Amino acid sequence: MSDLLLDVNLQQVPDAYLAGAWRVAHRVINRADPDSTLAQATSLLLSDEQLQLQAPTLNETGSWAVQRDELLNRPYLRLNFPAEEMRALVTRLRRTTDGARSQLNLYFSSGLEMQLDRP
Amino acid sequence: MPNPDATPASPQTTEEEFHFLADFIPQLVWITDPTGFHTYFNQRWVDYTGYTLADSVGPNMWNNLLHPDDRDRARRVWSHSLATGDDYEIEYRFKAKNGGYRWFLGQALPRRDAAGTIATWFGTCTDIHDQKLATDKLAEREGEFTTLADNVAQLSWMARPNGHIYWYNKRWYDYTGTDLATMEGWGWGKVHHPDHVQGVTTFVQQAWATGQPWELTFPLRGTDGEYRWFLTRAVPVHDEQGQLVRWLGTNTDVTEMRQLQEQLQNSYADLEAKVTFRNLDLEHEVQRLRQQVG
Repeated sequence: MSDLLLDVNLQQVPDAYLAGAWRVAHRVINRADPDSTLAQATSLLLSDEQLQLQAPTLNETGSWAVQRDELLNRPYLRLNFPAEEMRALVTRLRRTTDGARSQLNLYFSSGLEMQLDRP
Repeated sequence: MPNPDATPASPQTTEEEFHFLADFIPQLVWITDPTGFHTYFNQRWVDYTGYTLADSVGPNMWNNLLHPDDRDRARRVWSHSLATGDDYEIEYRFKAKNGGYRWFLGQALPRRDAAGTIATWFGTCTDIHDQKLATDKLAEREGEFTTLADNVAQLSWMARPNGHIYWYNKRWYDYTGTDLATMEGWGWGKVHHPDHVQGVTTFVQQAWATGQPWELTFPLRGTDGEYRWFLTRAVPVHDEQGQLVRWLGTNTDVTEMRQLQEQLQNSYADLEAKVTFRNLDLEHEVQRLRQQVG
């Protein structure tokens, strides 16, 4: 049963659960710019404070941090790239009991939604 | 009490009384020798079948009299009694002399001599046609209701007024993988989730006592070991005097409905969080203004 993904309580999620090498499994563009680097991203590496975004034609490096706000009952990520800063709300985090597999859903303020899988 | 001064009955009187009695009782009466050869039929036999003692020699009377579906069985059972001396009992159909078959209960006992050897067989045939048809009709109706109860989408059960469950439908057994022996009475606790069984027990104990319809949702374990959620509804059944005689209950699988409900609630919560997130700066400003006004 270790393969079963279980929902993590987002009000108590440790920051470490959000770090790691994430692969973009699904995305919903909504009203975001489909040509933006983020919309094209294939993977996100969140390690220590460093952020690496990989897209087919471009790689970007920046920094990231977990943010919390009393108005929100879940954390959000602040992603800093050289040209812009983005915020992404964590809408869902699921992981196996041993932490070997995780699934992270992010909602960006641009309207873009992403499902990230690890590994 | 017998009268000690009474004169003993003569053999002739005794035989007359026997014939009177044998013709008086509502059964067809017959006597055979130890080999099964008929030596007596009462008048009711003759009146019903149209056959006399003389007709009983050979197979013709029996082949005409017995329903074709009953002949082999009747021959087997009678042969067994003749061979073993066991009491004879059978249900079969006899044709009336005016046509049409009726069900009879045939019974016979052997009379033995002092040495224990069978001297004669005394037999009767009791008309059970109406009871038999009523029983068959009842069994047919019961079969129909059982088929209905076993094939409805829900798990179903019946309980005594105090909540002692004495019947479950086939779907219950198919889902839980249990049998009546383990489930009868209060055995249902064995398929309840350990986190919920105490709460369910407390609830139903109060519910049985009220005698009012009740509903409760709880998980039940299936044969695969997984729990699914069921909405349970129980309805009291009363007799003509208004006394509670039994409970009828159903368990409806609402697992998927609960999942959809949960998904819907999560979607609303997500939507609310997304809106707040999109307007976070604005929300802070609103909150600051509220504090100032407050």
